[in-house]
Formats: sequence, C-alpha cells, structure tokens
Amino acid sequence: MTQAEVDDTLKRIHEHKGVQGYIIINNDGIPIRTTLDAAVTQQYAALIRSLTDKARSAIREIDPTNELVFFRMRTRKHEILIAPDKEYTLIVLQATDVQ
Amino acid sequence: MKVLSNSLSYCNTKQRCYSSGATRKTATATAPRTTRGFPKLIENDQDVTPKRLIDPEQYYNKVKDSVLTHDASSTPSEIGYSTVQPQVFSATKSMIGLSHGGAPNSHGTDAESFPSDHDNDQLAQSDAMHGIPDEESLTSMDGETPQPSLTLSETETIFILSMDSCIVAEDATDVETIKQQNERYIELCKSRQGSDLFNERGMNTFNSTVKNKEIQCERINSQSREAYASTADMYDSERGESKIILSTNTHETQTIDDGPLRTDATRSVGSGIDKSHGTRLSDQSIDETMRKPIVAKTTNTETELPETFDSSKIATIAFVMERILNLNTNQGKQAVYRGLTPLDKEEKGITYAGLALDKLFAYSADITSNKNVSALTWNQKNPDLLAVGYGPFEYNDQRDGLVCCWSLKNQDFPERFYHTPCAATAVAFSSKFPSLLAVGLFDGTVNVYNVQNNNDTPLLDTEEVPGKHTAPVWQLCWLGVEKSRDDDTGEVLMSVSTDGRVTQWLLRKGFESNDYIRLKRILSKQTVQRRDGGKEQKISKSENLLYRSSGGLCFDICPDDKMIYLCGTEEGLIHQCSLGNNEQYLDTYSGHSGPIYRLAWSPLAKGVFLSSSADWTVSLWVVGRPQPCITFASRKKPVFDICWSPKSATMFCCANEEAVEVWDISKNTLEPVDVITAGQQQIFTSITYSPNSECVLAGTNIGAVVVYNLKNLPEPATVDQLMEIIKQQTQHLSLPEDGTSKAIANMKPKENIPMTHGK
Repeated sequence: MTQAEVDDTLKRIHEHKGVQGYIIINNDGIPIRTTLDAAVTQQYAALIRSLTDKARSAIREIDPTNELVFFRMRTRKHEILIAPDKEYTLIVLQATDVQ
Repeated sequence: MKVLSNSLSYCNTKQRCYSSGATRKTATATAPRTTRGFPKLIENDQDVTPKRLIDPEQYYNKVKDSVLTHDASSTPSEIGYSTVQPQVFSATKSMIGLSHGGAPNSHGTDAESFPSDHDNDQLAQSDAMHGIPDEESLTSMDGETPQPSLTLSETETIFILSMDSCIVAEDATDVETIKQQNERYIELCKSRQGSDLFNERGMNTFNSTVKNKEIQCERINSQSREAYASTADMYDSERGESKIILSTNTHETQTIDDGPLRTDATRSVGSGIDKSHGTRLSDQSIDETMRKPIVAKTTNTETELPETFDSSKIATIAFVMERILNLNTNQGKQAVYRGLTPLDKEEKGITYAGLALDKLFAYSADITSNKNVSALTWNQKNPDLLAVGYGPFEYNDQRDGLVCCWSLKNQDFPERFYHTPCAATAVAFSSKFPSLLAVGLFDGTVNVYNVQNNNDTPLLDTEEVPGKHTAPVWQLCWLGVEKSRDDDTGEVLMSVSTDGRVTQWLLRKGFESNDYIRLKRILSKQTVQRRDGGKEQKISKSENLLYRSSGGLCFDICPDDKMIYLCGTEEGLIHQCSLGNNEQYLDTYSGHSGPIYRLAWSPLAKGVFLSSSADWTVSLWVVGRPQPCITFASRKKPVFDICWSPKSATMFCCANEEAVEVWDISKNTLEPVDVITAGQQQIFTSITYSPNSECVLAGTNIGAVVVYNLKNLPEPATVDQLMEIIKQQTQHLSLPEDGTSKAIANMKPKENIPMTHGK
C-alpha cells in the first residue's frame, strides 16, 4: 500500500464509529503520531510498549514459530486495540457502549 | 667372609662389566682433582672432601682433549660426566649418594671414602650406560650452550649391593659352616648396639634459612552472571536470526554492586533496537512504569528519531486494525449474515411473521457514492468476495466507471477498486483462475483484471482486438472448455452485446475472438406462423442474405447441458441456441413485449427458466413451450434483475425499479411474498443471492449494495412442487394448438399423483 492509501485507512479508522483516537508508537515507546492529547499519549505509549513486549514474548515462548499479530483489551469504558509490528505499534481506543 | 667376598667380587665384576673400554684408574693413581672453593676434609687419613657433582669447566676442557686424542688419561668419570644429560645425571647421583650413606654402615667396615674414585667410576660407568656415548654431543658442548632436548626416562635399577639369600639343603656339606656364619651374623647385629666399634652418628642436613616473602596479585574479581534463554531465542539463533544484544561492560560493573543482574526475556526478544532495552534494564532495576521515555532517548536511539515517519510501514497493521474495528462495530450483523446467533441478546424486538427481509448493512463508501450499481457477481473460490460493477445504464450520463471488490470483513471500504474509462456493465469471476475478473464496459471493451493486486491497468483488454464489440457488453460468463491447443487455458469468456453478437474470447497471448452466433432479427409474426405449420424452418432465402441484427442483452447457459444457452434480445425474443451451431436458433420464445433484461435458468429444476423484461413482467418458461407458463407482474416498473433462490425451487427475487420483491410460486403467483420498497432517493438495479448465507444483496443507483437477511424462511421447496405448480398453471392457460394439447397429454400420467400445495 502506498503512503496515501495508508493515510486514507488511518483517516477511516479515526472516523469509524466509536473510535476515540489512535496512537502510533515506535519500538522505543515514543509516539510518532497521535490524535489524543499529549499527556494521555505519553502514558499509553510507555505502558503499552512494555505490555506488548510481554505479550509478544509469551506467545513466542509457547511456540517460537508463532508471532503476535493483534491483541485487545476490553475494559468497561472502552476497548484498547493494539496491533504490534516489527517497527511500529498502532493503538486505537474505541468506546464500548456504541453497540 | 664369604658374603663380603662375594660382594666385593661382585663389585669388582660390576666394575669390570661397566668399564667401557677405558682403563680404570686406581684411587691412588689418579691425581685428585682439586676442588676449588671447598675446604678439605680429612678423616681417617682419607680425603673426604665432597666433590662437586658437576664440574663444568673442568670437563669441558678435559672432554675436548679426550675426544680428540682418545686419551686414556682422562678419567672415565669425566667421560661419564660429559655424556650424560645434566638432569638425569643429578637425579641418579642423588639417589646413589644416599645409598652410599647406607652402604658402609651395613658393611661394618671403615667408612669408605664417599666420593671415592671407585664409586665415582662406578657411577660414571653406570651413567655412561644411560648416556649417549656420542662424539657428536661432545663437540656440541664446545663453547656454545646448545639447547639440549631432554628425554626424561626412568633409569634401570642399579644394584649397589645385592646380597641374595640362598637356600641350602639340610644335608648339604657346608650346612654347619653356614649355620655358624648365620649365628655370627646375628651376634654381630646384637653387639652392634653397644659396641665401641660402632658409632652412632646423627646426620643433619643443612637447614636453609627461611625467608618469608609476600606476594600480592591483582584482585580476582568474580562475577555472577545469569542468562536466560527463552524458547524463542533458541529458535531464532538456530535459524541464524539471533538478535540478542548484551549490555555494555560499564553498566555491568555497576549492577554487580547493585544486585544480581537479571536478564529478562524481553531483553533478547525483538529487533536490534532492543539494545536500548538492555541498557535500560541495567540502569534501573525493576519498575518500568517509572521510566520515562526521555531516558531511552539518551541511550542509543538518538540518531533514529529525526527520520520522517513513512506511513507505508504500518500498512499491515492499519489493514488489520480497520477490520477489527469493523468487526467490533458490526459483530451482530456479521453474525446474522453467517447464520450465527449474535452475541447481544437485546435485539430490537421486531418479530417477523412469515418470510421477511431484514436490512443488515450496506456496502458503501465514498468512492462509490452516486454510482449506479450495474452488475454483481460472487467469487468462485471465496464466497465472501463480491465484485460490483458501477456504471449508468444510459448513455446520456457517461462518467468514469468503477469496479469494486467487497469483502464481508470491511463494509466501509472495498478491498479492491479499479477505475475504468467508462461505465462497467458486466462483471464475471473466472472459475478456473479465481483471481481473474472480467469486466465488460459500456464501449464494448472487455477487461480482465487480476484481483490479487489493486492495479488499475487490466491484465488484458480488448481495445486493440479486431473482434471487439462495438456496443456495450451486457453480460459476461466464463466457460470451461476442452483445450484445443496446449497453450489454451481451458477456459473461454463468453459475452453478449448490443451489436448483435455472442462472442467467444480465447485467452491466448492476447484476446482472440470467435463469434458463437450473430443474432438475427426475426419478425415475431413469422415465427408464430411457422409454429403453426409445425415446421421449424425459420430462415427463408431472403433472410439468409440480408438480415438485421438485434441487440443481445443477456444470456444464460443451461446448467444441465453446457452446449445450450438462451439469449434475450432487445425486441423481446428469447432464442435458444447451441454453442456448436452458429447459424440457426434452436428455438425461439416470444411473449415479452419489451427488451429482456435478464434470463435465469432454474438451478434446481430442469428446463425451467425465468425472464425479466422492461414490460414490467417476469415470465416463467418451460423448454418446449413457446408461451410462458406463468407471468408475474406486480408493479409498473421495468424489472432489471432476477435471481433464483439456490435452495428453494419455487423462490426467486427480483429487483424492480421501486422495490425488491421476493416471490414464492408455491404460495402465491399473483403477489410477491415480501417486498422492500426503495426510498425516494434510490432505485434498485440489481440483485443477487448470497452463496453462503440466507441473504439477498441488492444494488442501488446511489452506489450502495444493501444486504438483506431473509428471515423465517420456509422449508425449501422441491423441484417436484415447482413442476406441479407449473402443470397446474399450464392447464389453465388457453391452449389453441394441438401441440400444446400434446403437452397436456404428456403430463397426464403425472396428474395421478396427488397434488400437494405448497406450505
């Protein structure tokens, strides 16, 4: 996908029903792009970075041929969707009381 | 004493044995070598000064002489000295020296001079046995200090004194003397204790002075290091993709003092950027949450930050994320589509009585807005993939066309979209190569796209092909055929167009076309007359030469006999043709008064098909009957599209301009069972059943494809039911000809079967 298409996709994600915002962080937990405010972004970036590492290593421990593609945490207030990748991680917050 | 004499003689013999040719010097004869540096000891008038074991200077000189002249004057002892390796020499010497100390005592005689020449000679001789009596080695001693190669080996056992006991028989002659000797010996031993002849003397070796010396070495540091190899690490290293980065030394020394260095599994997992991870762990002990990202900046990754962010790197995760979001919001609808019970039970309490259509969702996006849906088709291999062609039906509104592939996973944006230069009017997926999509355009071109990528340029198109259609292509279909050549793909594309040709396209290097048939315009009256005559000659001589072609709008291939197909024309006639015969029609069905938009063979019943036309009607035909069996009319709008239900033989859907109607012939032939009327803004232009779900998809003219779920479906009706209904209906029709009465006669035997109405 070209950069324009990916940007389109991100725009659609942002406009999807219930989505409160998204954050793109790199492997060090530094936010690259975000639609939330800075304080919240920093918090999410730091915390989710380590959680992603833990989850990823857990999956690889169980079966080294496997790898983590996606995981989500559903809380009472909203759902945090995390898509880790080799270099970047995409975090999306979606409200749960939409449906 | 005998024993003594024996021993002496033994010694003598020994001496004789060991003399290696060199004459022996007696003690007196030899000039005693002056021992330099040592005080002389004289005891019992004998010179007991200890002699140096090794006297290098002397023997160097002497050896030289002895070698050159074979001088007998040189003491054999010196030869012995020179030939023997120093280390070996000293070892044996010391051994023998000790035994010397013991020997005179046991003998009980005067202490022989220790370093007497006799013994020295003995020693020398014995040593000479072990040494290498090699002249070459002598010369090598000359002047320079060669590097000897040492061979350490055990020497032979040297017997200094060997008094073997012998056993004498009791009746031997000298038993008495031996006994006396033994007694005397025992007495001697006893008297030795207090006798004046014996002198106990203690020996003392020099005690060398002890000196304490302290040394100090560098402190030996010990580090305890743990490592943890996770399963993933081992797997990675085995495949050569090891990404383990150890932290730097400076940090390690710190942590030794702080506490045990604990390497976490997370250190060794991940990319090379995890270097910062490792250093982070060693900097601070445990709590990651306390760490601020700023710390990470200062360690290693400063150089990487200024890179601009390239969105295409997150293409995959954006893709996945979008679908998961869709899943989240639309889980209920998608579950219903699949036929599963949705998660949340708090459904809106609309209950449907009888068959009903319930709107689920709509495939619609910004790029498809305000585009007329002209064609719908499902992928053969992936029944969730829907290809939609967008383009207006009329010429006066020509814009760019669009073809989209939609998937159930994402209803807000198509998986693929291809822009076409003009309106798309027909789409078809190949069954042999499921990724090929053929698109027919308003200007008559046929494009073939590969849906594996989103490339706008088609794989193949008929722009330059001579057999290209000159009018809009209204229907496409892929046929599997026998390969006539090796490079054939085994599949051909069949198309019908308003220019009056039904064409076969071969996909060889480009497109190659053959015409299946040229649709000739037939005057309907003539056909009826000919029917009356019972003959089937349709073509008169004049028609052979000149004919008007009629535009074809649709076709459908009989599912039972792949050689037969039906073709609908603009003037309302349906022609039954054969793929092999490109001159004549097999049969013609007339009954419609307007152009025929869609033909559909029943997938379950044999020989039954439906046709929809612009004359507001849908007709059901049976092969062989030139008149329609049943006609369905409900609205005063042209029917664009019809679709048989794949499961029930008596149900089908049709798309009027105004509404989507579901008909069940077994229930009611006058009215549809259920109707969804379109709102003011939209009209329905196409319809299709879903292959793997109880849903109907209807395309509208505003660019949305609406998915309706069929609720409360009755049990699927069987083919027999359909046939019976048809019979019923046909009986009621007025049948003027005998031919039709024959048809009744044919059906008569079946009337005996009790007719059961549909449920």
